[in-house]
Amino acid sequence: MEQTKANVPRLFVCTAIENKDEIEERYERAYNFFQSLVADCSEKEAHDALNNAVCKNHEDVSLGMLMSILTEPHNATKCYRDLTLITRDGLTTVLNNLSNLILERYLKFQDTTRNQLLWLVKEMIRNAVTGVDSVCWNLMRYASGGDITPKNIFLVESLLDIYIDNRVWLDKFPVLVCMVVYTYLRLIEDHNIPQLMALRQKEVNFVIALIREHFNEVLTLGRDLVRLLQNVARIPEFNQLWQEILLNSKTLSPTFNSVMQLLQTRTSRRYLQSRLTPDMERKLVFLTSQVRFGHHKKYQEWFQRQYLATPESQSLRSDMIRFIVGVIHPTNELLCSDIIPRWAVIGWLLTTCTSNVAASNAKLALFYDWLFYDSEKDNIMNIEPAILVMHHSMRSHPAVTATLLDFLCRIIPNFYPPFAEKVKQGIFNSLQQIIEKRVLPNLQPLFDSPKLDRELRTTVRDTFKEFCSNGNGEGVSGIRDEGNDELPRGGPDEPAFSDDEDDAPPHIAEDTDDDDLPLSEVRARERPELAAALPVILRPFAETLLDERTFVAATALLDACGSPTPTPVALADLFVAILQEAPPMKLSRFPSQTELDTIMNSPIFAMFQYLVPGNSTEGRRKLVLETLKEINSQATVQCVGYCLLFYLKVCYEREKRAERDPVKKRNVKFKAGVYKDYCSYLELKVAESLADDFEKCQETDANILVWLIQDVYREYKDQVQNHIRLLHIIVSTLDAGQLQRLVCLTLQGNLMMFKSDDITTMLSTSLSWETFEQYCLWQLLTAHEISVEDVLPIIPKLSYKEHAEALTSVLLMLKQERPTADVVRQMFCRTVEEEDTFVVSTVMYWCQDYEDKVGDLLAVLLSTRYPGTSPNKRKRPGKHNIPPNAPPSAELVLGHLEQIRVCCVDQNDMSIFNMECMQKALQQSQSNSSDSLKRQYSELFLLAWEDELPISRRARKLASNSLPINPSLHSSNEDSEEEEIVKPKQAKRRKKAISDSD
Amino acid sequence: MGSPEYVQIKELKAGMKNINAVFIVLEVGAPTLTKEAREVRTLRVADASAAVNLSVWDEPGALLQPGDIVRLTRGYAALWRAALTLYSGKAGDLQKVGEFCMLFNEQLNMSEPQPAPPAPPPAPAPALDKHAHKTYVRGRGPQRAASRR
Repeated sequence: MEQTKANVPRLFVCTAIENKDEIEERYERAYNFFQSLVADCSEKEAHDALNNAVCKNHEDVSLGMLMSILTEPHNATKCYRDLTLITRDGLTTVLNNLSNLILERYLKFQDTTRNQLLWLVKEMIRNAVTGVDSVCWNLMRYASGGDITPKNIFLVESLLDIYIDNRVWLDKFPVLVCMVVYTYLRLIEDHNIPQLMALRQKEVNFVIALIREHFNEVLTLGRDLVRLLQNVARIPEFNQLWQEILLNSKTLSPTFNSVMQLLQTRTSRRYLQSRLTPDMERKLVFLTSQVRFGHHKKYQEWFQRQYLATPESQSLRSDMIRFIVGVIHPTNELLCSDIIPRWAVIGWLLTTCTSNVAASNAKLALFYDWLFYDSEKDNIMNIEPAILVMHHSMRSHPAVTATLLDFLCRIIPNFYPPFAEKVKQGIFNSLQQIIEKRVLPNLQPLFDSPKLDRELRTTVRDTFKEFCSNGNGEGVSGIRDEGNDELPRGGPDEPAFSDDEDDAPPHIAEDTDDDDLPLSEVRARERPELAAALPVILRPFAETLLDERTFVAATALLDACGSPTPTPVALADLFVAILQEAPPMKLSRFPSQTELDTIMNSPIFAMFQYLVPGNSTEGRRKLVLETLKEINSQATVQCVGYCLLFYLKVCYEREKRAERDPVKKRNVKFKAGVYKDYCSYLELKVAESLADDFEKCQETDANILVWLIQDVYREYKDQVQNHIRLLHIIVSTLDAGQLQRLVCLTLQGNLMMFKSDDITTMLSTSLSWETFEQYCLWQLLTAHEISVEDVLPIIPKLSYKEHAEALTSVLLMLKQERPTADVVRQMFCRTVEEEDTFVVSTVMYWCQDYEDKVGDLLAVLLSTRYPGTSPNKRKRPGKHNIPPNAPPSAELVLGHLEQIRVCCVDQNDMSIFNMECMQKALQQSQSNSSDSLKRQYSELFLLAWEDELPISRRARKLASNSLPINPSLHSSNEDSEEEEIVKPKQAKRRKKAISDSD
Repeated sequence: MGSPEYVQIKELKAGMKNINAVFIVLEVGAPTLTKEAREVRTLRVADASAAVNLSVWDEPGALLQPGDIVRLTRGYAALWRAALTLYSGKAGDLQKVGEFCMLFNEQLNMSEPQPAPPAPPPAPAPALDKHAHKTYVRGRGPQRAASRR
């Protein structure tokens, strides 16, 4: 009563990150209001004040008093009495708020709050307050399964004691009786450790008594009551009860005929829901209604860590599965969205279980509605998750599917032997309903998947023969009797159930998409299964094909594929198995006709004939394309693409050979369109696909690759010329002989691998290739007579040290050319470096034949660096940021000229500098250069003509003088290397006189 | 209580002050001790827009768990080792307001270190010149007649 604002009691545990929330503030305000009314009053006055206030502000007064009861044990008795006296609504407000408080915040309650809550509930039950049963209901949800921590056990035991002490009251609430039975039956299962035996005995006695005395009410719990009773059947009292239920049912209730009665009754959702704490329920609902598939991992981790991490918590998985199966029924809209589907959540709950017993119970929980399924009374949504877990796990977790199918087969005779037929009927009803509602269009791919081991498949086939008689939509499973499984998505709308459930198209191809199947498993596939996946009529053909593995046998099989049509998956599996066992294709360098014919006998080539327009019906062409697509998606056999190219080339050559008439012979065409159609059907880009196929081919046999090059570059010219990746694959494959062959083909005019578009990119890219690869490229470029303009842009960028292959090739190319302004300009854009003799070598070589021309070009280049009026105070364009295609700076030109000068001095031939044009240019340059440049290139400028001296004398003088002075005047150009390179050039020679460098 | 403006994480920039935000904790890093023996943890937090690092000192860091939904009031954002980081600061406050039930986007990480200037373009520059289309066909002889043969 003497509370001040400063020390208001707290309802909730408080930490540094959880101080006070709006709910607590609401109660605090009400508490302060209540305190302000009664502070310093006599009891009479207080009573009057409260009575007055309650007229105006009933809720605040009630909540303030509730807060006091929950937090102040010493005041609770008196306060509760006052509350009952002043309440105007029979405590309804208090009960509603209390229920909300429990649902929202029970886990944060202080220990005092929890104790007071139980005290209050007990008091209200004793006073038979109307509505307290619903508070009990909500509070019982926190008596969690899978949790034997003292806090939880305290709640479990306190509530039990309240019920035991108030049996007479409890008996009046049949729904609460059911809830108590359901809750404690479930909890007894957890209480199996010695410390909890006393509690368990108390629970067992109480629950048994309730069941026996309220048997008719308890029957309304339905089949989940049986499920829970199964889990405790070993406890003697429950064993006894089971005996009576099974053998002597009338003793329990005159209207109870058989346990079937229970098993055929669906359990109300509220009981299934009640076994999750409100906290868990909120999170599971959030997960299945908000979180997108693919973004669920973190949420699952958190959930797992918080609720499913301990050994005893494993039993919760069954409760969660029953909740998801029976309570979470998403709308069609949600089913069509990308929210994580129920089956995925269940798959996660199953696969992360750490206890065998719990895992077995979880599977039973998943299938429980299947066992006695009646399409009239039961809901498809209860059985749909199980079939979809099996269906979708087949792809990436076949073990999950296997264990569930195994469970489904075993549960029939083992659930309760006398009911084996009934269970079987229930499961059949479920499967029938699944097909009718088009959860899955066909069960064959699931029941007869090659990913299941043989023994299991046999068991499944024996158990469910009606559903796997064949894969062609005939028989029981064939409500939909199409011969072709490639149904368009969607199909007729089912009002009851959306088959778009799981963002997987109902394509058969999806079922056995093999991309993450280990190779060993693929290899383990056996012949009988391969043939059995085909319609009966086709099986003999498949057997023959498997025996003979020939073109003819494959053709016979494919010819027979009409009606019924096999699934592309089945065909793909068959061909993949054959191709995998076939030895890799090998070709000699110059293949003979017999060799080609032998290779062509492989069954894979039989498929290609149906791709050629006019060779077959459109239906068969589609089937083959679909099969090839499937093979491609399985990615275990990768030869299809280059085999197709191989096939087209062989056909082309055969046709040409067969044609006698020379005109017609010339008109024989390579059927390039077939490969293009293949690519477009598989949604591949032709160029990329060709590169991919060449890459695969390279791994198998380089000769095949080389053999195909000519035709590929002819037929797919637009896609492959200059295709960098393809080119790299080719040059990395070639040996000297193969390169020679390509060069020869080029010279004959039968191979064109390049076009000038964007050739610089290709050249730049090639700089990082292996030396031999680069040489191959340059040999091919040379064979193609690449023009010098195309290499010009890269000349300034090639490094003398790092790009020796390319630079040497360019050098040799320039050697064959006449000097032009463009070339010289690009050359002089190169950075001047002492060791780099590219420019000097080229210029010196050209001087042998074209000295005048070279002199002109150099002079023009130099003099145009000094536009008439420009003052030359500061012209210092940094060497490294020359804009593309811009002419070199004067400094660069001078730098290169200086290198040339040194070389000329060395060869004792200064004639090029003595040309008149050069003299003029040097003079102009000298007069326009800054002092520092003049100093740096003083020797070069010394060559400039002084007015009176005749050219020849001046030159001679310079030539004889410069060498000795050189070191003292100069620091930058120490030159020794030039000698070696230019030495052999003493006299001028015709180009042709020099023996070719290569 | 007036509802403060909440900032979306993807809108955060270094230097922002007085930040109010609600986010979910994705990861809690191991604590490091400062010289004054204070524990500092780096948490990865996210809201529906993006993820960011949150630096938390002392007790709150020990109490926060992955999956906790947290409301930050009066925080600030700054660069820490080139990574955008959120701080609650002296005036700021972190309050756990829930668990689990919040969508987040961890693809966009605002704390990804940002290189100061744009990186210089890698070495060999692609083609700079634009030639007229031209194939390597010599003007004479059989080259042009490949298809004829």
